[in-house]
Amino acid sequence: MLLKVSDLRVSYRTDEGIVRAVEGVSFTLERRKTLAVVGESGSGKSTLALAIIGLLPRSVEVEGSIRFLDMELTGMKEEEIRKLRGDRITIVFQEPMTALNPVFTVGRFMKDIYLTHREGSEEDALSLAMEWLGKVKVPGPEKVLNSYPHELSGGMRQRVLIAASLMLEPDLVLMDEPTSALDVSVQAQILRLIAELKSQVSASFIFITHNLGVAAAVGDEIAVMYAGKLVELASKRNLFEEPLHPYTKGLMKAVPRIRGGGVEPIPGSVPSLVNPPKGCRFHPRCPIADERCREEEPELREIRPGHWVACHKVG
Amino acid sequence: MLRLELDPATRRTLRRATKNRNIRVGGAIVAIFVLMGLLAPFISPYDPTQGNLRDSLLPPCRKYPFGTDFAGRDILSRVIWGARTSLIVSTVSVFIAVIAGVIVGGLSAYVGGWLDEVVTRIMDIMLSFPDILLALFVAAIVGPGLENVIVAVALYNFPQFVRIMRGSALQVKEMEYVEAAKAIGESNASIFVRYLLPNSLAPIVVHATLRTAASILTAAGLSFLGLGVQPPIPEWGQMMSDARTYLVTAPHVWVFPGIALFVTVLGFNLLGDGLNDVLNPRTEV
Amino acid sequence: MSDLARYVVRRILLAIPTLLGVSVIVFLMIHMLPGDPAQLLAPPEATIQEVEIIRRRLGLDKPLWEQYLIFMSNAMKGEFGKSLFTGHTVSELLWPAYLNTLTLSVLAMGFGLVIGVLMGIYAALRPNTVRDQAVTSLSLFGISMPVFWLGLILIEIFSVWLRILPSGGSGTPRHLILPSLTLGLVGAAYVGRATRASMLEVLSQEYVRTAKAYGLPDRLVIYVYALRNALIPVITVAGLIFGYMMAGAVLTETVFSFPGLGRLIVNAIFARDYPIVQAGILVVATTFVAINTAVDILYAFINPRIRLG
Ligand SMILES: Nc1ncnc2c1ncn2[C@@H]1O[C@H](COP(=O)(O)OP(=O)(O)OP(=O)(O)O)[C@@H](O)[C@H]1O
Ligand SMILES: [Mg+2]
Repeated sequence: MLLKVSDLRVSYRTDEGIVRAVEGVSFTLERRKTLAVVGESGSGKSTLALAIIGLLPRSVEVEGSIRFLDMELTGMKEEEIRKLRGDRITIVFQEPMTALNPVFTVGRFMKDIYLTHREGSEEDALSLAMEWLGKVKVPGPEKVLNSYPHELSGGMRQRVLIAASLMLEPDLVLMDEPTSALDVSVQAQILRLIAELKSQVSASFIFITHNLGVAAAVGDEIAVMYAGKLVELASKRNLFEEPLHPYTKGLMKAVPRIRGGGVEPIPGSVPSLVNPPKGCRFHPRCPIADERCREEEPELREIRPGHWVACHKVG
Repeated sequence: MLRLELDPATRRTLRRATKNRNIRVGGAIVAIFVLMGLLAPFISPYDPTQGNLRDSLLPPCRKYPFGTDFAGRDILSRVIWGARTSLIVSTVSVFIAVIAGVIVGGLSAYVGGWLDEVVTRIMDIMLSFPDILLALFVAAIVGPGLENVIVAVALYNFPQFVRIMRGSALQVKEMEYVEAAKAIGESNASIFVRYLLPNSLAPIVVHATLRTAASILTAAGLSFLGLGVQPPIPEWGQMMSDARTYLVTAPHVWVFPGIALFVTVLGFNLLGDGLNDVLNPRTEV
Repeated sequence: MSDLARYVVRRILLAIPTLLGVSVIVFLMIHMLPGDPAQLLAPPEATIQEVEIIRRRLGLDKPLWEQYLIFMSNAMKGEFGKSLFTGHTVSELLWPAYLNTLTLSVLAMGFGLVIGVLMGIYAALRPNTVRDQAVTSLSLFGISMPVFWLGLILIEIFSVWLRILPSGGSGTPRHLILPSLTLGLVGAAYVGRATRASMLEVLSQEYVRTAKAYGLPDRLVIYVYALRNALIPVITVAGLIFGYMMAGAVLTETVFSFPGLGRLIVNAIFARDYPIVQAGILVVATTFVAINTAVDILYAFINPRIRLG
């Protein structure tokens, strides 16, 4: 087992009150597997990723446990987790346009990453960077290496960031909606690239998306998040053959399909995380909620081997 | 008709303004400065221009809280009257510069074309004389004296306001409602007053406050050099002009006018910063 | 030609009309003064005949545009005629004073940049804390400080009380310390404000988060990744401040009896020695335009994005 997250809780302090962005999330991740995390905007997906890689501001409260390899990441000293970042754990963000430093070339950035984490010469760094730029299929790796970010398109920049995230052969790669900011045609290319690279490296992936279709394309396992909670967790096959949580079912109806069946968005929106609804957080939008759902919070239970769900109405 | 209810946005801005610490402190200093200038004849203990040579260069004492200068004049009274001089020079020169800047900058942006080109070039040229140098240059031509300092400082402020007005007028000019107003045949003058001016008000108010601070410093600098307000008119910079002579023997001669000058400029800068925070919220951290 | 080279050439060409404008204004000074230029340029005791001779010798009987051409061709050679009273040529007085002022400004600038940038970073790293407020207040104090008053205070402290530094004059490096400190402190206030603002802005940018996300050490993230971006606007401010220093030197030099260009100009204004006034003002303004042009070019080197524009 590579990663074991248990009862993770993250809360932001804001003027409006305490935002409980992640509330008791638990899951495990095996080597070479991909977990796709799906949920609407504001469900706490990015917060989860930032908590794992230790990038939340110091003022943010993180409780629970994140075991990675043999280390406990919550409460780890900044200097120690810094050494893991970029080396053992990497992340690709949503917005490639602003994620690269405008005054440095791609090569400089990749070189700095290498030299931070490895003993080696600048030549080693640049040749490795070049190799990886080749693997992410940028046209003319040498030219890209000497380019400034503004000279590259969004898709190209995201390829650069993917190369940077894989270059040092990390154990865990977090991808936070890496294609959402791109053109639709480019999205498909990048998704294909990621699928291809996954088979070539030994890393595990956590792939965050709000699109269940995308999750199905990349994930071995799929975790569905709602309002800071994990509501369903299953292998891709189980989830698609037999979605159990009403929210997951709703999401499936909301996925645009190529043939037939219009999109049916789930009515209502993600509740405030300052004052979440009592009982099951989904009950105000749930078509089958009853008295118990309004009062009692459902636990995440393993209904069948490997298929977890948090709903009173299941099983 | 005077409307007493304010729209919610204005009320929100006002509330934020009254809570802003920079505005409070700066506003209080500015208010004291203005009051000192206005009430000088009533609050100053002595005639600022009449000295008693037997009391020359007295250190601060009960009779003269800030001491006296070489001519035996009461420094406290001269500091109080100096506020009046600074008040006149800075407000009049900034006022002139704002009016001229709004007209020239607004026209330049609104008319565009070669006029805009020429105005921009001339402003670039004027701005090539850094800081006090432009005022110094003008003072060299027109000579010293209160009115001439006003002219020099106004000219030094003028290009700044042209730039600001031009910048915000250029933005507004392209707005749909201005196009619409033009299309329905609203006159240029009316468009200017109804759209261009209100939109530029916030940056101009902020900048006018900050430029008042700079103008007080510049005018005092000119007077310090002997190229500004001439004795016996009390002026803070001019009061310090022979400070070197009194470094050892009578530092009070230059310390008190300096404090007055510094605190006043600080007040305007605080007020300007505070107004900027409130009126241009995007620059807030 | 590369984008960068093209930009550099264009930027330099852009400065030329501005400089021409400046020279026209300075040239016209003598004609804007009340009275007859020839009379103004003649020694006070000159007879009518002597004034006429001067008029012809200086070409003041020629049309204005021709006079301007003569003025300019001389100025290009660094010649500004003779001082009306001292018997020296203007250049003899001008260049040593200019050198002094330049030394003073460069020292002050170095001082202001180092202190200002450090102060700005220091504040921006802990926004809205006591130390940030301290830096912010100090900068505002510096900006509000009459530079001549600050100079007097420093003299009082270091020359009158502590007796460790000369209160004025020139000749040794020690004479440069107080004047450059005076100007530098004010400069530091401006630089500090600009650095703080732009550092705060940059630290909230995504690429800084990316750098942290890849484990780059803090000193690399802050002092290279963030600072490099944060300094871009500061450089522009620094160019303006250098101009402020050249001009502010007028006051500082007076306080410290420092034989620089500022004092030369002011004394010449009092003496109505107009060729010196003209030359001095032209030289300061030209330096200022040159510095700003250089700053814009430097800007392009540091910021790859604007080369295209
Ligand atoms: N720095 C922060 N301070 C305060 N609240 C925050 C902060 N970051 C996120 N939140 C809040 O935490 C909740 C979860 O946000 P998060 O960004 O993790 O959601 P997400 O699922 O990634 O959404 P999206 O799909 O929009 O990226 C939201 O309610 C958001 O407003
Ligand atoms: Mg997100």
